[in-house]
Amino acid sequence: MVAVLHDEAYGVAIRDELTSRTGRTVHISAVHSSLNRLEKKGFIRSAMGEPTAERGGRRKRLFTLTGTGKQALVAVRTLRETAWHQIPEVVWQ
Amino acid sequence: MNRHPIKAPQPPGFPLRLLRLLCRPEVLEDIEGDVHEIYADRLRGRGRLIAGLAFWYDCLRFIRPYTIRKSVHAPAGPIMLQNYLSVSFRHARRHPGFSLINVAGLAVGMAVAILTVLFVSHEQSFDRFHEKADRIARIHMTWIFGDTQMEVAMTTTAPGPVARAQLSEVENAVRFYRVREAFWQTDQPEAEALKESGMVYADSGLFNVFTFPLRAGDPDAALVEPNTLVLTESSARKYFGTTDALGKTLIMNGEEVFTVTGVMQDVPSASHIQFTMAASFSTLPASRDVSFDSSQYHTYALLTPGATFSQLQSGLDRLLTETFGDNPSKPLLHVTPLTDVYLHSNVSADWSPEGDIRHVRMFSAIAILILLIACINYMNLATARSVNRAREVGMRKVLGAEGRQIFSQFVGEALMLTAVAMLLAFGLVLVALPAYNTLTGGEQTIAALIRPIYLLSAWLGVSLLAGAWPAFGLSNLLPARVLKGTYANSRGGVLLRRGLVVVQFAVTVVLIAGTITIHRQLDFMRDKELGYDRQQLVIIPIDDTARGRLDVLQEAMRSSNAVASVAAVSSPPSGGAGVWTFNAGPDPRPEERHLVGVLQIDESWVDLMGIHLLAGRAPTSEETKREGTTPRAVVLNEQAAALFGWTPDEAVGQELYTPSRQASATVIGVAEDFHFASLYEPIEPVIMHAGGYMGYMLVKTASGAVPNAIAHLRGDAPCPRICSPRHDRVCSGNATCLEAVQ
Repeated sequence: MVAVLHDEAYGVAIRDELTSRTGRTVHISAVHSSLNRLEKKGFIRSAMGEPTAERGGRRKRLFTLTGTGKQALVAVRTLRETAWHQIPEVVWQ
Repeated sequence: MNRHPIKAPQPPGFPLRLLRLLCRPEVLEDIEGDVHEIYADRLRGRGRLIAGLAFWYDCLRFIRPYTIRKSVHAPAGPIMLQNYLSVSFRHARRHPGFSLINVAGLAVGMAVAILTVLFVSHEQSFDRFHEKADRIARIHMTWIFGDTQMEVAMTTTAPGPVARAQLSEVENAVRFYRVREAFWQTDQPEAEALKESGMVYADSGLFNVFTFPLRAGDPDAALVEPNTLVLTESSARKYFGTTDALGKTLIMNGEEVFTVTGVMQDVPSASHIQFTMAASFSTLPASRDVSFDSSQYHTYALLTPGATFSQLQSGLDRLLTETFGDNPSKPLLHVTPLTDVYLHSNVSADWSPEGDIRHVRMFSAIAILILLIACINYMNLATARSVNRAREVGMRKVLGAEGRQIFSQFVGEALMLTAVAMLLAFGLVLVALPAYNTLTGGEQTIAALIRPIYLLSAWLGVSLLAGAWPAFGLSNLLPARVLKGTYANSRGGVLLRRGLVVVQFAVTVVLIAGTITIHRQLDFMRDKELGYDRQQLVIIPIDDTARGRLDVLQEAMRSSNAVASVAAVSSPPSGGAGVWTFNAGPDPRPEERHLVGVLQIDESWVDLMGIHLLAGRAPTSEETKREGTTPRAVVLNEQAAALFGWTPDEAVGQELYTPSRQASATVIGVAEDFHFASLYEPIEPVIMHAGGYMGYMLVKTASGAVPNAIAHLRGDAPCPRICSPRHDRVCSGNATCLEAVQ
């Protein structure tokens, strides 16, 4: 999601994106704790953005993908795709 | 110029303050921003209230291990703890009144709560000690006579054995027949006959269905044979001086011989089934007769594992339909789970310990209120004193104390005070327990409550409830303002405190008003016009020996100048009456039958009781002596006359037919209504007939001579047991509540 939203990846936006894509409702604190874990593992990094009136004058914490994060994404995708291609045709009949 | 739009509603402040207090600054801004944004979003869609509540929830969800800040300071070391303690002690010593009120208030509140918990847990624990308690059902019955119904806590002989034989849901069934009074003696020649009022006949399944452990004897065989008897340990000691009574012989009422086949532990006080000895049901002639004639048997059924109470109910309904077809006067059977009998069932003719769920709820509510008052009291006193401690807090803050440290200091103080208060409370309970046990008739011990988990949660709960808010207020003080001396409570704080005082007073006023109301009601019952004269009245129960010589006995009593008059009656004043069916007219008219209370009286009773006759006359001594239990000459009360559609004057001379005796009686008088049963019940129709089975002798003493008269009666009467009038006892259930509330 962080990658999808690119420049606008912060807590609420990520939650909304998740909800609109999967139909699941996720509590904002759950999003925060996931982001916190990803940041600890070095997959994403964060920087504070601009304050807005809607946020009671608080700044956004904007997340961007790190190099390790990109590698991890690619690794996950490769893993899925190789597994996908190895599903025998019979399964689909 | 750019005009500001109308200010949008702000989210609630407290959860934000909480977040600020708890969260690491690095994550705080982000979290605050997000919750604000979501709040603004909800505000547009769902309205202010929903958004506000959701905001609370959001904020609380953010309190997670990774968001909570670690203290920058080392946790308070021994030196700092010592400082906190000594400051607390100094403070307590300098304001002894304040500390005393605070601790004493909490202690009294907790003591009351502990006593109430004891009471409530005892009431709730009734009948739960049986291992199969959740599978046992009490079956009781409603008789239907035309329009009138009578619900009793008993059944006839049939439902127990029939259900056991025909319903697959029923594994076993036990019937009890209670014997109110019997005289027992051992087979030693000089043995004295002792009165036993707690004897039952019980089916042999007693020890299979219920958990009444046997100390000696075979639980499955003990009550199978006729004339076998199981004693409790106390009754074994009563007759044999030892609990080793197996195989010994006891004689009932001088004729029936029983063999002791078992000795069981005494029935626990938390059982609604109470007895001191159980004889085999097979001894009773009624055991050979499975019928729907007479409901005198308490019946319990043990369900097979997995069967439900509603299955049993529909099974019983089916049995009744098979037996009675669609006869309109078919009785009803009801099923009550054993554990609900004591608190939730209110049927007449039940075993004597009866609880009331309303009392349990009322006492729980009162205990919570009193504890709450104590906590509010602590909060108010503590915040009021906080002005004095503001300087200390300001100084600590200047020297580098964090808000959280101040918070924990004051919560710690609350913990300390609560611990002292709790010790005091247990002291108070120990002192009050004997009096409390006399009051409730229980045998509570405090041991049941001394469990670490209870104590710990009570300690923490009360400390936090009482101590958190003042501590929070103090930890939020601004040191600069305090030290400059411009410290004042915040407006919100003052309002909250005033609100708490109002709540405290309101609760107190409600409790006091409740106490006064109950008191007034008791006074009302004591002073209420009962419809009869109960001054100088002594009630003497009569046993069989005395009954045979009633004339002689009454004559002997009249001879004393302390005695003004003597009468005999079937039940004592306000002690209720038996119930028969009657119809108007000299012959049976089944469709016009009514259930009416019946009292058997003698010729002096109307006069002695001071009952006012509206028409007709009282029975004569010839009428009293003429016939045994068949009513010939009857006096109605107003209710009974009205029931048959007569005015008092019309009623005199009318005939009444009763199917119980297959005879008719003539109405000779109509009496003004009087309370023949409990004051709790409205006055019902009652028929008083001359002659019959007398259970009690009433003695009217000459004025002021009650003690003399009692002395005289004790000297002469073969049955020297003197009872106080029953209505005092009827009231005592309520009196218990009153004294507890005060």
